[in-house]
Amino acid sequence: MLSQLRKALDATLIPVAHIAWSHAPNGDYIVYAEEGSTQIFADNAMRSRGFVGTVDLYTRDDSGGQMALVEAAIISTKWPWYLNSIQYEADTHYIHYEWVFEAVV
Amino acid sequence: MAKIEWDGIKEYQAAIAKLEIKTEGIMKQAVYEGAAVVIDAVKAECPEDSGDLRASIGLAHMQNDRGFVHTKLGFDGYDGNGVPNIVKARVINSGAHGVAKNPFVRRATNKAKEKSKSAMAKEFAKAIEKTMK
Repeated sequence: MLSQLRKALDATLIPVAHIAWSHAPNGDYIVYAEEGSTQIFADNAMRSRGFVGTVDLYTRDDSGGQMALVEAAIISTKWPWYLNSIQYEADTHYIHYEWVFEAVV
Repeated sequence: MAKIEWDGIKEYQAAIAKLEIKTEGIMKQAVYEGAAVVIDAVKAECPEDSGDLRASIGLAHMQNDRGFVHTKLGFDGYDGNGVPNIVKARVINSGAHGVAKNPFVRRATNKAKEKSKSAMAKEFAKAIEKTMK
């Protein structure tokens, strides 16, 4: 369903998983998943539908380089998106970026 | 939609003046009704735990920023182990290293959006009709 996004994320060369990692890598990694859908109704029928999802990057790179790569990948899909949160995990030293996107289908 | 009739312009002006005085109160009540729908949805989607997280969900005081009346939903206090409920909610909602995400807040607000808007519209119509008669 999100093959376009998967292709773009794979091109970053950062390991990617769909939905969840069974065992998360020790280095930087990405996980993306659909969460639900959005739709536009008109004349009592659904006229347009999209999927809402998230892309999460876990990185120890604080230069912003990995973040920029992933964001460029999301931008390349031409879907609407926003950066929802940036969280620092003190115990793992990961910076966790979370983007929300809406896949237009 | 409420339907109200007046016999003359003076009566209409008086009704509008009455409504103007009560506008902030009406808006706050309508926002409260809409927020109640969202809170119920978030509580329903909140994952089962000791009950601390679900019980911690609440609304901030209503604010009026130059005519923009609003409130916020949040997670208050600490759980039984001294962990802030907001931190717990964030980890569950966004995920963490080794913790798969469960975006229950976004899921709940998406589900509740239309029902919340309807609740607010209904409250507005009821309050406007009551005030202007």
